[in-house]
Amino acid sequence: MTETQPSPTHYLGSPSTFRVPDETHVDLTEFLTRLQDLLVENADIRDFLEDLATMTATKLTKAGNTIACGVTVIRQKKPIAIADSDALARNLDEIQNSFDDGPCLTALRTRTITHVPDVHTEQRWPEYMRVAAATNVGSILALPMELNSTAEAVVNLYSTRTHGFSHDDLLAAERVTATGAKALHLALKISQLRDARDNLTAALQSRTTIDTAVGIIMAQNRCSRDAAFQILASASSHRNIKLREVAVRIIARISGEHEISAAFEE
Amino acid sequence: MNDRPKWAEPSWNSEQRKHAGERYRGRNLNLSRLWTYYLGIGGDADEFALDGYLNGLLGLAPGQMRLVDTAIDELSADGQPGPVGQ
Repeated sequence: MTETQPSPTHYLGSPSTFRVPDETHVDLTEFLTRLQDLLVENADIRDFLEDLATMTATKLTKAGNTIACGVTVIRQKKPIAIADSDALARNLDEIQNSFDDGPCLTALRTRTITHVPDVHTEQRWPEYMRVAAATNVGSILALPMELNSTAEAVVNLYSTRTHGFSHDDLLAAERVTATGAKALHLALKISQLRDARDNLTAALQSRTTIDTAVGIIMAQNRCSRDAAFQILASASSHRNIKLREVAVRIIARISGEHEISAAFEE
Repeated sequence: MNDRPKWAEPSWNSEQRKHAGERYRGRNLNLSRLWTYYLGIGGDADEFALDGYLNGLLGLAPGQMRLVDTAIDELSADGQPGPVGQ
């Protein structure tokens, strides 16, 4: 593959002038197959992102130009470096998040691709650049992920070379990131559904216990269901013990049973 | 119920509603997660009614309001392990 000399200007704002890469330049067939495997295999979003970062770095690395990849997400309004392909990416992501400013966070917040062709001459984000220039990173490319508001994430690419990202590299990175974002979107949906299912299962178990305890209180005190709940809730708040835990103790006192489980088809 | 406790008075009800809504928003809880938890501790209202209650549009029976309070307390004490970017 020939290296085109990249222009030192960053690409912000002029994506329409890029020429379309030929298909042989970025063949994503294998990448897609592996993404599908990841979706099926990974139970955890962090694991998924870890694999995605490694795959993205591998896909974009060329002879003589090693690319490191990190993923930063917004969690409870704060940026968190959640996954990385190696220590360089992790280190740079964490430094940037500690400054709360830098190319990747700008990409994340403005939803535009941000390019730093040479960290030694870059004028923006001076604090971060001073630290970045002391590491062996030469250039940085940050691409926000389109996740249809389910989450906010940015792919951070680091080259050890200055001008490490040519126009073609940028196009390749854009396609890889867009493809990764689609998979991440799906992974997030799967994860949300799994969480909802787990929470409902837990709710069914808990409710069975609580209803049983409420029945016991009703029989013992000859009171209404509402009054029984009131007694249970008072016991819980006075002793600062969870409602479910109070219910478990009531049942255990009557029958010695500690586990009341609702049959639930997984 | 003829032996209605003090906290079931209408004035208490509207204060309580405002209070619950503020606590719910202040603790950054997710509505579906809160509803599921509330269901698990014996809550009878559906998610739509809970949403309305927390936004000051609907009232709930006194016992149900108390359960919503308990759910908010217990859930925020657990902390909410959310997926990416919630």
